[in-house]
Amino acid sequence: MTRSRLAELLLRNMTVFIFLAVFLYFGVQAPRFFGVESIANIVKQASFIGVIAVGMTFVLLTAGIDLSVGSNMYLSAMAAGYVLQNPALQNGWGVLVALLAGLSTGIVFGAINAFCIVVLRITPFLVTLATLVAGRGVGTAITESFGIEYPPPYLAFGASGLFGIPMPIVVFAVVVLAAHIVLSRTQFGRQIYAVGRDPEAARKAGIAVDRITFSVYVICGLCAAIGGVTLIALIGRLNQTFGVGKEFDVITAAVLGGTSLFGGAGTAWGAVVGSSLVQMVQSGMIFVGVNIYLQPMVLAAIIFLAILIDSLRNGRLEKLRRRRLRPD
Amino acid sequence: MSDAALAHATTAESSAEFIVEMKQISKSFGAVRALHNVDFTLRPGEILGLVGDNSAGKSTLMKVLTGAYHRDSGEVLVDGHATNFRTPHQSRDFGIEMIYQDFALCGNMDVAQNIFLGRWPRKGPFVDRKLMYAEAAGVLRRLNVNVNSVYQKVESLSGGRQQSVAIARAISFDPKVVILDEPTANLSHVATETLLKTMLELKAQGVAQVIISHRLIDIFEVGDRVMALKRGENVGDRYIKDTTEQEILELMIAGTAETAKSADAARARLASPGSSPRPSP
Repeated sequence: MTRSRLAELLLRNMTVFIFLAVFLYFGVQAPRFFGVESIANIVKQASFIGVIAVGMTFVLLTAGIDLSVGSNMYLSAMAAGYVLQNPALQNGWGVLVALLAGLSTGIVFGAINAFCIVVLRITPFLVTLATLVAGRGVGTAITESFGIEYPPPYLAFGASGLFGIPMPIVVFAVVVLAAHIVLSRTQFGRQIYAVGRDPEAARKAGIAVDRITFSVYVICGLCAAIGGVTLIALIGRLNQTFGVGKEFDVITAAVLGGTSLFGGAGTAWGAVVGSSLVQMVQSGMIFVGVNIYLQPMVLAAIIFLAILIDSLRNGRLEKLRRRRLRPD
Repeated sequence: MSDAALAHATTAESSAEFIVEMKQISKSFGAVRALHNVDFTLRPGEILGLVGDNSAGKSTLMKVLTGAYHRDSGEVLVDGHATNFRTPHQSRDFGIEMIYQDFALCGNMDVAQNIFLGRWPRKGPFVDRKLMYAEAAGVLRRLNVNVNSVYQKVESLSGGRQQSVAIARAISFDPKVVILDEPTANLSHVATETLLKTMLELKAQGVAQVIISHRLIDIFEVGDRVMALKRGENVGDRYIKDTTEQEILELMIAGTAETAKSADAARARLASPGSSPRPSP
């Protein structure tokens, strides 16, 4: 009894334990890792993945998946970039218009995913795999794979901050807070959890399952665009490889943060912990000087671990449920 | 319907006597005739057992009542009003609730959130948690069931307690009719006893209940009347006090349109050889 309790506790809080272990390991190996600058940098870098991981959390809560976020980042940043090529828009207002253009692109991208999933009834995995490839293809065709330079006002936006807090972290905080309130306090949030756990029960309870499913892909698209337009403001130049492979970092961050791939479980805070952990490992490996060719393997191991933990969590719950269906 | 005249006379003089009255219901799924001219009555506060072999049409008949299925022909009167429900939501407005065999709950949420699944009370843009937990506790008190806490996650509850939550959910709509589809199928002995007690508690509060079940023993423990279907047709209707499990089993297996007289008619015939009719429940 005590042992199963302990196992339960470990499984539930596994990410926190891993987080502490990794943090201490890198710190001991490279004391500079504990520096304020290093930590601030990790949080800043984590914020881009984190914002998108929040959007991914919405999708994962409904037991769906969105593999296309990397391409969405690329197209959204590209839309913002094209707006800013207009000389008349290379000012403060232009930045606002560019941001709106970028975010709208993300929303439309998400709506296309949602349409294919909800109306055409195609599996989310296949739909978003297709839009992952198609989105990158469309972007490459439009740009003819030339890079896009961003004008100084946009870079100033990227370097701006609020009360000394860098802009990406402010954006991340706002997104996490908003998502937390929506998920835990509103009817819409409750509906998402219900749909994710049991769509049939949700339907019987009068919840518009299709409308909820549609919304989460649009939200995820919006979050991908937010990540795209803020990250590109720091980089200043859009390459054809912008956002490539980010879907894996994002899904890893969400799952490490306790969001289940099987739907119905997860929180916005989890995205903060998960994305910080992913970024900490990436930065830490540089500090410690891990062979650059081995670094992807370390990340792969962490992805594997995250999914293994999720399966164990769910396997345990399944067992508990089976046991409790028998006599009182 | 063999004794249409008699039945008609009965309903004509006391149409408000029934909370639900279904007349000559037919329903086909393609070539399959699921229901054929089925009659059904339910009185306020009555517990009616609806029995029959698999594919007898019990669930289909109840889904026609709730509006989950649309009848091909026939009439449905609820509290004397002719109705034609297109969805279960419309029948809910008339006080009819169905509790599904799988409970239709979301295990990742707590008891209160499941009782108000899909219609969480709101305060501005947010879920009014205080009101929700208070009202959930009130509903559970009314049911007189023991679910440790309204904050407990449903997936951590036993099958019996999950069912209590499903019933509490139905009761929170303040229904006049509750339909329970195979409620004891997944329950232990103790949980079944608790359920039957809950049903009697609801009966005492004037809620009519239809229990679809294979287990005659449960129906005979709490029921007032039992109605048997066979291959989509009425084959029998008896007051529990006038019949035996043996007779009902025979009706389920070998019943015909001839045996399908109303419970009152069956009682009258029982009375004629000399045995005195017992008072109606």
